[in-house]
Amino acid sequence: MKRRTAWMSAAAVVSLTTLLAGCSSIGGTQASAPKRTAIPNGGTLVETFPTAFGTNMIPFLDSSAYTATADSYAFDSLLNFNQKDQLVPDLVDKYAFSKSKTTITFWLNPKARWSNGTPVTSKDVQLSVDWLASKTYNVTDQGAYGYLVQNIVGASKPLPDGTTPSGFKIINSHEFSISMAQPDAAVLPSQWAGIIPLPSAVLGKMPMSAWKSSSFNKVPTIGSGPFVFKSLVPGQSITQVRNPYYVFGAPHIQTVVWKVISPNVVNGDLASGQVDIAGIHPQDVQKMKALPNLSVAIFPSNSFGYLGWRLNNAKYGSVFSNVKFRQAVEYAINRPALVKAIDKGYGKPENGPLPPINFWYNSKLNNTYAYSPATANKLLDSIGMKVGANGWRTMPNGKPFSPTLTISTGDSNIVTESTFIAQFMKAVHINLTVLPPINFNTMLSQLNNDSKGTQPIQGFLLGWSLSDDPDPRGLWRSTDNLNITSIDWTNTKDPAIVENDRLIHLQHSAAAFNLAYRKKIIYQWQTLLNQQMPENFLTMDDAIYAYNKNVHGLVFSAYTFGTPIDAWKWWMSPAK
Amino acid sequence: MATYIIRRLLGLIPTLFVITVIVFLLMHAMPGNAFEALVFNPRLKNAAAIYNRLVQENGLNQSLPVQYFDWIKNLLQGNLGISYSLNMPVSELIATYLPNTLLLAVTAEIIILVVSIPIGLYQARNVNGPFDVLSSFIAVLFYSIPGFVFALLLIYLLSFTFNLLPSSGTVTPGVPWSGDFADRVSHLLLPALALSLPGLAYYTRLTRGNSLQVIVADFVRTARAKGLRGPRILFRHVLRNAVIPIIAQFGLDLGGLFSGAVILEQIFTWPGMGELSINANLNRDYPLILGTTLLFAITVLIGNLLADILLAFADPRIRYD
Amino acid sequence: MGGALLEVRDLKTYFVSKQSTVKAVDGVDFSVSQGRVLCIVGESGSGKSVTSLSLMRLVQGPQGRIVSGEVLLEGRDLLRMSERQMSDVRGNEIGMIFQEPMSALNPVMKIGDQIGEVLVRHRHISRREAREKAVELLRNVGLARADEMVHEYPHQLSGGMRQRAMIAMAMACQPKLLLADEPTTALDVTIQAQVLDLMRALQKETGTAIILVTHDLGVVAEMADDVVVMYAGQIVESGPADEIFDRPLHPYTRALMDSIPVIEEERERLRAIPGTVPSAAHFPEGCRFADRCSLVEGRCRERLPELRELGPGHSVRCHLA
Repeated sequence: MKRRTAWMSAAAVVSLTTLLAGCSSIGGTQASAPKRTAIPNGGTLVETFPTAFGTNMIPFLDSSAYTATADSYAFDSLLNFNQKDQLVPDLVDKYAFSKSKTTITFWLNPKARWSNGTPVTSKDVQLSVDWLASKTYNVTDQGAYGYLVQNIVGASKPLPDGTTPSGFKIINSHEFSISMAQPDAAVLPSQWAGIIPLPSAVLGKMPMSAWKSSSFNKVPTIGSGPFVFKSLVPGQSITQVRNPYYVFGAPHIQTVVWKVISPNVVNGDLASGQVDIAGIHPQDVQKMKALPNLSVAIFPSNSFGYLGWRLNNAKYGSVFSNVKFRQAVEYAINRPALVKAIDKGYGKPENGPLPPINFWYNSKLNNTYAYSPATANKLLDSIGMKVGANGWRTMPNGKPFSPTLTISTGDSNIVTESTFIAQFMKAVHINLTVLPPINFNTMLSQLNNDSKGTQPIQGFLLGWSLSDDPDPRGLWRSTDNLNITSIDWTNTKDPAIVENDRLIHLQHSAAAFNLAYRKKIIYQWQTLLNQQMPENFLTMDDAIYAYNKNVHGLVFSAYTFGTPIDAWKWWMSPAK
Repeated sequence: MATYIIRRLLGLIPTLFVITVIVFLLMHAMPGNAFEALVFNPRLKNAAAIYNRLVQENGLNQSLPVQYFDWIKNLLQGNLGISYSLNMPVSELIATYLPNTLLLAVTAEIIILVVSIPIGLYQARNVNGPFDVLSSFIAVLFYSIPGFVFALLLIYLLSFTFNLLPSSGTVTPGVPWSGDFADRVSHLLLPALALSLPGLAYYTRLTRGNSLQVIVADFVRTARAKGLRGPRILFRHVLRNAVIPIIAQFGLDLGGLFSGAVILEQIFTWPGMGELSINANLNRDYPLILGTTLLFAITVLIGNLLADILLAFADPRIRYD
Repeated sequence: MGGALLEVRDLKTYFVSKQSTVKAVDGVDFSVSQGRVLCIVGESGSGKSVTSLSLMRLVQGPQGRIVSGEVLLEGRDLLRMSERQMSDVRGNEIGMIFQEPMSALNPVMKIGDQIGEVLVRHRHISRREAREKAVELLRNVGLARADEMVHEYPHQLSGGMRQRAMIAMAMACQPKLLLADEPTTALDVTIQAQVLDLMRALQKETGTAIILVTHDLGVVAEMADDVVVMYAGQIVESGPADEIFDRPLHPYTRALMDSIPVIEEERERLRAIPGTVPSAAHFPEGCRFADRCSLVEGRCRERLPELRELGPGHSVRCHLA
């Protein structure tokens, strides 16, 4: 079962500090597992979404993170990740690379079955590839997941509906191969592993243009995951029942209900038992722990928050783009204090582009940029930012320096965090003003339309929630569209940028199929970014979940946002 | 009357046209568009290309007049477009969310009228008596405390503490009785109560005030001089006249009920128009913004028309020709 | 003459508030016999209207209160009846019409229904029968369009028609007594005469006694069999109409007579009575008319004169008479 945590929804980005928090207990919280024979079956598990989910339930059709989460219970992908971020078998139980590393052959698990008992076959995988590559999906239906197949030979551009890219070959009903033009070490974990076989017996009979309006899209009653859709009430709930033919064995829990629950009442619903598991705020941990019917799980998340600077800003870009300025800011911000104040201690300082818990994290980055206003002052002095008569530092040219900080609406923690940052800046004589929070879309619009550096946005707080694979492409290359923090950093002839792009290339090169090599390169890349501070990395916030004590066997992973993994292992105490 | 209604309905068309133009302009004046957020995704290795394709596919690169007339053209063919953020036809979304809002609003309105009018009337009859003083105090309290506070209080008491009613949704998911009448009613009660409380207070005061004015009227004395007894005087003569300004107010409030329940809809997970339109605006979902705004505008205008028609029925002195 | 139909003894109606006690009616005695017309005449503020309302126990509470006295209708004291018994008397044994027919009629109720409800209340007939009876009653008061009028609302009728409808309503149950409080004051002069004629005719036909409250001596001259002149809450003179007109004994009565415009004498100006009625909250110790009386003497200011019978049925409250 692969959790397509997908990309974060807009809400997930802005509420990062709220939803996810960070700390000590690495790995999952697992109830002591009784012998499988003793585990009772049955029960209804109620989980929550904070806001409404999209209602296109065919996998990939809806880009809502919540829909994807519910879908991840109903449809398994080819491969999956475990708690340690390692690829593990799912519907595919074996795969092998060709000598040239350009073709991967996959063998489906013989036990992989649809919930009606029919086997999952290569044709079901083919349908999924065809769908992801199709014109209908990529043009009419927004195509948010088209990237999963874009590296397959013949699929770089949308294909007519029902056309199979030449790089996909069926060998037999349980064996197929996928080819790419150039060897790419990241393709399997970041793309192909996430392909979700679709039931060709149902969808194969329909033209793709009719999928969206089909009844299967409203309630897909056949699935390959542990729990299959039974019914759905738009805007409020999804009911799923266990799949008796699940590849790893039938789940214990009979029914899973997803309910949209306002964050205002979710704690009360947990306490009263109307909800079995939900994310909670760091400040509520003690309160929830004190309740007799609840357990609290705290675990790190694969995400982080950062303070970005518009390096091309017309007014202050010359300062922001100076690496010593950004290093000084990193020294000036007491990140452990932020973790304590904002996350109530449930988090960790962030040192680079990967969070400390990440499998690929370079632990040499630990304790870099320890809080030191003195070092910060020295660095700022060294670039000619003198402290003026009014007590504030000026630009090196003597002009006043009073940058602003833009934050988005919707999260009170971000407001608190911004005031902390302004205080830290004040301590090193930087006059940082926090602007009133603005709508997230407005913020994005300012970031995306700032080629001249004249937008009001100068400093800003955002977060990234990362995928399982550490591949930095899409975000960190100098050519990447989302590289919003680093426009100047990437557009200069700075050797650091050349090095950055070189390392990113190397980590997915043919040589990088060697795990140790890829790890080494990604370590180097992190060290480079830690030294360059393209944005000021702030904190990793732990994810905190409260769940009812009658739910057992939950396995939490840093790499999922919102739901524990291995649902087929969970069980519930019989009702009293 | 019929010609009047037809004339009024025809008169709505230019109003709606102006409203949609204004909304269209304001909507495009908001910074950002839906697709910027959609491609704000580190997994997309080719975000710029996808963004440009989506902008082009949805005609956002066209000039505003062209975009507007495309929308109007589709509207006249009954096509409200496809929501950018939810990837579903706007008409289908409205068809899903509107009945919930209607059910909640109508129930709340019935609670308001059924409870507040008798209370207000009884207060006026025994003005400054203990009941009047106590209930007036409570009414002012209800009116001055925001509805969502009551909502949370109601949930805390009736759902969390006494476990009498469910705290959210319109039906219980995953049970055999899901969606039957009792299930729906039990889900409806809390939000309808929370939605009606401020209105309850307001309409009680309105009824009390109107009734006090009517109760001293000459025709009420005439009714007593005819030997009529208390209840008949109160309902047939006092209420019948006191209700006229209430009807006028009711029509004005009707439109507001649709948009007024946004916070409550969120607290109770009541999938209604308020939440739909708020999310549309936050997500810069142009087709959905236009669709929901058009509906709101129609509701307000129809509400006013309805108030005028009801008024004519309630007050024979008012005639439309 | 026979026994009195209605006998009022020492009627006192006060308006009591924290600040003051207003003695609006301060010990009034009179009686009216079957088939007779008694006019109560006086300036505004003299207590004549409150007297008529007191007879029906329609004085606005809680300030207005009948503090003592007896109102005997055929020997039964209305003031000692329960509210329920009293409501059986109102509109049934005593009918009442008011000064302003527009405001005294319910604006949102059809004329037919307003008349009909008296019959439904007291005669216990069906609403349909009551509607038919209403047509007949309207015809009896000289309204030719009675068939249509039962379906009309008060605002669709002229002032005179409304007062006729009021009379029809008051007479619907063929009461023994008709109380008419300034029934013609709000009407045009020509209409006034018609309404008075109508009342006269109905009285002849049914033998109803009438108590007519008015400030207009012209009306009194035309209608009255007996006259009661009120001043400052008290009767200052009473007696048969001829007596009063021929031999007015009280200076106030005489002053009232002088204020009647007499066209033939070509006196354009009315001789108004100088001064105003004293405030009912602070009556002087002596004669209440003393301050305005041209004949005032010392004793007038010292002692309130008694009502003394000076001729057959002719009483006056004056030291000088």
